Amino acid sequence: MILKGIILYCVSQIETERSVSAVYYIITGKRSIQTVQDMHIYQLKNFFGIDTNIDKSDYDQLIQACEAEQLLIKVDDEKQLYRISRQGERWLVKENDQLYLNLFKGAQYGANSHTYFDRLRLLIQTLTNSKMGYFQFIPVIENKDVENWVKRNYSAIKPVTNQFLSKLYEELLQVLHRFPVEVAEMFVDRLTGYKSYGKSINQLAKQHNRSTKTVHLIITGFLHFLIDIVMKEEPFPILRFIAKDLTSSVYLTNTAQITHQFLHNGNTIQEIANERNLKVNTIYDHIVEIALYDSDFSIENYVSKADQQEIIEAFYQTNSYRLKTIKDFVDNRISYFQIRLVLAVLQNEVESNGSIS
Amino acid sequence: MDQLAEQYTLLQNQLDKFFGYPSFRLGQKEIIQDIMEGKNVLGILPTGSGKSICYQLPARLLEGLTIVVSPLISLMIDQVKQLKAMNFKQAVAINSFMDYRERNDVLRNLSHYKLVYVSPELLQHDQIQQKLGEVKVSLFVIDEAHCISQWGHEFRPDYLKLHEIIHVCNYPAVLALSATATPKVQEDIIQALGNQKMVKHVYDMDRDNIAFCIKEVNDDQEKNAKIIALCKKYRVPSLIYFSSRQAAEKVSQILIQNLGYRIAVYHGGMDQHDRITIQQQFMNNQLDIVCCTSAFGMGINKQNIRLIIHYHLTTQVESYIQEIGRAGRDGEASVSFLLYSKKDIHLPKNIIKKDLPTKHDVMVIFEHLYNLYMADQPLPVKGEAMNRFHINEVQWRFICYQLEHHGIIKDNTIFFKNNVWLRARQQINEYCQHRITMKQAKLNKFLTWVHQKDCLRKYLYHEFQSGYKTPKYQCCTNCGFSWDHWSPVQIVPMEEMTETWQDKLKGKLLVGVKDETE
Ligand SMILES: Nc1ncnc2c1ncn2[C@@H]1O[C@H](COP(=O)(O)OP(=O)(O)OP(=O)(O)O)[C@@H](O)[C@H]1O
Ligand SMILES: [Mg+2]
Ligand SMILES: [Zn+2]
Repeated sequence: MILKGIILYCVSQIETERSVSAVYYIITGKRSIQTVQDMHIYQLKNFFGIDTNIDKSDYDQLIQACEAEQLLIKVDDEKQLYRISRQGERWLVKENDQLYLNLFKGAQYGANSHTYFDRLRLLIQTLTNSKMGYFQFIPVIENKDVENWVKRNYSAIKPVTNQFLSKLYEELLQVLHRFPVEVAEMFVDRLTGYKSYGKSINQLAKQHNRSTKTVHLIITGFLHFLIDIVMKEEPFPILRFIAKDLTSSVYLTNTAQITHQFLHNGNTIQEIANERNLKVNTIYDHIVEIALYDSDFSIENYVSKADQQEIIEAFYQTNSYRLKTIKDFVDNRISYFQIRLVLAVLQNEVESNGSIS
Repeated sequence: MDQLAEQYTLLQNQLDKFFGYPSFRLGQKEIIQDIMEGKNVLGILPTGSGKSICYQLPARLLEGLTIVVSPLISLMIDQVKQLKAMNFKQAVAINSFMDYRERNDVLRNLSHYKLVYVSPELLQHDQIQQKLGEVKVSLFVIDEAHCISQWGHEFRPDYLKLHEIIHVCNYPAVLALSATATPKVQEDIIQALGNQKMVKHVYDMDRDNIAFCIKEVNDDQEKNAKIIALCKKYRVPSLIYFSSRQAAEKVSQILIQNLGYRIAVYHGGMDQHDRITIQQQFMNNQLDIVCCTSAFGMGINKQNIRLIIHYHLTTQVESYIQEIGRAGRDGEASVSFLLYSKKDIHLPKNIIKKDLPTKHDVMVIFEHLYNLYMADQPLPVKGEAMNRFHINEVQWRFICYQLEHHGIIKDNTIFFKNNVWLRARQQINEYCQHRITMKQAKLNKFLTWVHQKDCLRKYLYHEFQSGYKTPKYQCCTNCGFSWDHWSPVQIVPMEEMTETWQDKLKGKLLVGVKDETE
């Protein structure tokens, strides 16, 4: 249900400028330039990568279901363009309280939020069990990095276990009050303590009469919002400590990062392509990605000031993010790569200056 | 002190030191002594008797590596976790959940481990075999060894190749363990392991604290009603076994609606995490009833399971014994309750058929392989083959094993020789027929037992051993079992449902709870 809400919302944002697959790629967090650009352009960053496990076929079915319920209207079959119907808009309003769409902060915390939860869960399990002198418990989390994180911190916390637990309790109590009861309940039930094993996603789903997908999304959203609060507000030292070294912006792909390094060292695009045995086009992709994140990144090496101006003009005149539309509008010598670069920078400016137009 | 006694005390000290048990249980000492002397051992001990110690202690004491072949991933992971919790860090389970890198790490450092759990399928990997050839393997264990006979033939053909692995490991001491193996199965096991000489330690497997109750009903509705009534009367830790996942799901819903107890489902279709969760909650008494398939059980070691209900018939006596073996590990009075209706009989029959390809399947497969061969194409991959031939994974695995055996395929190349193919096809068909007949016979034996008018205890075990212990509590339906004479300790219902999340959080974080050490 929440996924449905998210899809409807996303489609309403992109209107008919992209196929519905674009939404799929945003939700599953595809690290392609196109998708990263899309999420910026249509302001769907909050939903970026919030569920990386949806099958494309399941997604397509959901779209069809929305169409059958007349929440979405198909505009172009071949290009898979949809728009949201009046009914769809009403549905979004009506179900709003159940959808928790405002919890999500995908692009910011997406990938790391579950690690946060894993740390928290294993830490609580470890502390409560050791408090009771029970060391034969079976860890809820089987992730080496998380295990190591708990181990690293355990010895420091151990002598003050009781204070730590009650302080953690207070912080959680305080922060959980900001969430709907259903969400707080799910979170608490998922925790594992001493001789009290947390509920599985399946069990939570049955208990709250939700689908497992929805429960998973609720927890994701919960974590995004929680981390956001504890990072921004003062009185949560413990919850913030758990987030330490998790919240750095990580969404520049590795390979783009390497390219970034090469550029930094003064290599040309061609040199990088040769050196890394990659296509020049791939390096172009990296550069656009870098331009999207690094507002200090100068694109002048790749597009002259004059050409930048021409592209920006074209963008405002056509009022479209479609590369093809803009390409047709500008002089032939201007490449797609250059257009994408300029749009990326433009996007960055929009981000920092508020809304477009 | 003579040498033997001295050695015994030594072993006992080590048992205490590593596992914290003051003394050995029946059979453990004898088996461990033989292993430490490098002998091959076949150990048949009842469920819950502590077979694991028979290799876990030697693994700690022996110089080289102990390999344990185990049929279920969840079982392996569980055991490794428990060992780690007991501070035995050099234990690991190599399994298909590991990613490539993790597995490589383990393999690269194989000699640093002492106890390695692995599935028979993974043992077929060249990389693993090569590694095993390089390190010193001191002990090769087959846990739940009846799988060799029960599953080996179609389910898990790789079980039949274990003797090759023993060869690769340079003939370490071999230990085969099971709780359910008739003399015939024992022979199967010894043969599949390469016909080496094995010292047999066979103990009686009857459970004198479990009563057998069988009830014929008209249909599933009546079963549900009976179960609901029974569970209303007895809120005790219970397992209900089903022959299909769907039935387990469905009935669990009905029970939840009617009982309001804490009930969960467990089957092979659930992901690893959910399975561990359910298992742990059940262990911690957070659940009253688990509706499950045969995927739950093997190796599950909860002390106070009081009631095992069979909603469906099993396909053979061995599975039934295995499943009821979960009950009453603490020795308290427990009951096995089997429900069946006349309509049920097609279920196990279908299950038997589902494991093997039909004559028609075989024909279609051979024709298609011939076309592939002519077109110079390789053997189709699993998913594709299952789709094309409309067969399931078990059947495809069986076919591959057979084709390999007949020299028709090697890796994924097809080799053609007219007379070889003709003979192979005929033999495969005959073999399937033979297997089905045999399994049918096993099913019939179980059915005969179910309809037995004489003492059920006597006939349940009679193929496995000559006698049986006098039951500690009630015996069986035919000896006058009565529910009224059963009064197990009941679960005191918790207030969990009405607690607020604030209360729960406080409880989970043990706020205001005294330290154990205070
Ligand atoms: N010598 C001993 N003294 C006390 N407890 C023991 C001893 N040996 C084993 N146990 C305990 O007995 C329980 C059952 O052991 P284990 O799981 O090895 O049984 P098993 O024979 O493998 O059963 P199954 O056939 O169900 O797999 C475990 O809790 C184990 O710790
Ligand atoms: Mg066992
Ligand atoms: Zn009897």
